[in-house]
Amino acid sequence: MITSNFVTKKKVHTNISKIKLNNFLKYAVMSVYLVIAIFPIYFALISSVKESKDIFLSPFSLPSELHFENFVRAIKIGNIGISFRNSVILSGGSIIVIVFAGSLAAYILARFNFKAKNGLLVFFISGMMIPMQSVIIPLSYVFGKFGIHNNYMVMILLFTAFNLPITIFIINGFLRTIPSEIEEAAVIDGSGAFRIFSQIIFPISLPAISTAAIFNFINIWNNLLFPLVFITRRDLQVIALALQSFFAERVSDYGGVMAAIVLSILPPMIAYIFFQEKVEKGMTSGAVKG
Amino acid sequence: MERFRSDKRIIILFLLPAFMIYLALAVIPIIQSLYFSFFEWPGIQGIPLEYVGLKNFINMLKYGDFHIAVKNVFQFAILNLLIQIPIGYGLAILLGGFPKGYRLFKTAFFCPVVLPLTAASLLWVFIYFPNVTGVLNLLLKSIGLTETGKAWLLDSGTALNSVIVANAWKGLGYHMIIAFAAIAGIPNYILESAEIDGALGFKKVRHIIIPIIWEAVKISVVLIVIGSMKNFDIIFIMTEGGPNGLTNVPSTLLYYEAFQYENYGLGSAISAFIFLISILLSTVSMRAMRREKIEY
Repeated sequence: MITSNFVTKKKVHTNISKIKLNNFLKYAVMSVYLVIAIFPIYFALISSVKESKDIFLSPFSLPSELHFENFVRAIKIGNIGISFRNSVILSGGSIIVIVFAGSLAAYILARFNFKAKNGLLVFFISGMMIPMQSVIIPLSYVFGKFGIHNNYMVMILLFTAFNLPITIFIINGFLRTIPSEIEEAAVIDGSGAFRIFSQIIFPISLPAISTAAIFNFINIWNNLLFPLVFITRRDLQVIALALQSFFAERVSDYGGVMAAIVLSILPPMIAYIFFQEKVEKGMTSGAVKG
Repeated sequence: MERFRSDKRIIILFLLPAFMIYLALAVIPIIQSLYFSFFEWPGIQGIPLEYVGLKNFINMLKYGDFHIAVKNVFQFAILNLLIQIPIGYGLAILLGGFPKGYRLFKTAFFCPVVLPLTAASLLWVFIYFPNVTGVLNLLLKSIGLTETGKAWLLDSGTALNSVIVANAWKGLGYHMIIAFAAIAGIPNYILESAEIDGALGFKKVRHIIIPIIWEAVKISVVLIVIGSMKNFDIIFIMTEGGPNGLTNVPSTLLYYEAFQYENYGLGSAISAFIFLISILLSTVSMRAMRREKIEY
């Protein structure tokens, strides 16, 4: 009896130290990867206020003096100021059109009854499969024909076309979880469809709409391919490309390039930090349909 | 109510904006791109398309650079799978027990995902800088692994793999989140009863967690494979397909052929290839990983 008691005690003891060791290992592994995940961002932040020659001399240490002129050079010489504004206009404009067209369509596809309904939903959602690079040649041909390169309205509609599938998918999925009775009173009162949409459906879908909007914002802000092919004018260039040409043109102005990098990562990073849940949900919503 | 719900006027009116935009700028262009691959066009407005049958596809298949690009994209996909899935899922399993401070770790792991790919690629260019000024070389020198450093992105032996590591770094957090969501959804009593039955550590991961979250693994695999086929930015920024076109993938090759050398026919054939291969691979990988669904 006594011996068996002793044995269990010993066993419990080893289990506890095993758990402690496990815990230590767990945090060690996670911390190592934390450093790997964050280091390039940390590197960009500290280098953006260093002199170019110091960036590589001491890449890990905090700056000894703050050289904010890097940002001035990036904005003025690197075209980052104008292209930052352009990216805001382009992604902002696209989001407005996407949300408008996407929520109207999602509402119909979630709530109305007609023959082609399911087919149409599949038609929209399968757009997630279309690779952007597969359309640049035909679009470039057509845009050339109509002389609509360098046209923001066209760019906005193009981004809308490629972000509608996921947007409709997110909002449609959300509306299906909301009981359809919520509109019934309004329908019986004789309210028109527009009124019901703008006063009931749109406000109720805001959680899904904002998830889609933030996700689309990050997508469009970060997109390189479409502006690369369809925008040739420097004063209309977006930030992703301005960054690349700044790096290519001013090979040794590392401080300036780092400042430009920081400016370009700021909006998506801020969006992520403030709307963490929404960003994670939006980005993975295309994946977790099961 | 029924009348409202089947009012054709409302249905058409509300669907119209999305339908028109999507049709005109996504659906028609993708059909056009298949059509274009049977034509030759010098890229000059006013010169009509010339029907050439299968010539573009034959040229593509005979083109040495295309062979390299296809080999590269498969290397890209396979190595990304081998890096992103184990590390991403491993981190998610560590986070799955909600240890203290797990939110901080999760946020940090996900950060690279939201960065613009251009910015992330340029940062990795700085990390891979040649000779001992580059961050990686400096690090390797400080632990005595190298004296002179390597030109990671200029050396044909390391260029593609260096880009792959950067891409895996960028994408891994995404799969960590997918896995984390799946693991967080496993009811507690299942894990507890498994532990009582003696399934601990790796045993628990292998026999309990992985089978339950298999759907998520499948999705991650498909997304990484398709993402690799579509990948453009990171190669375009980090190596521009070089040295000597050795790191091109079909999408960068398509861009250079069409927009630098004005081989629009060949470019269209490659873009048709990318479209078809992504559809094919996603179906194949979904099938290959079919498993009994776990009910609990």
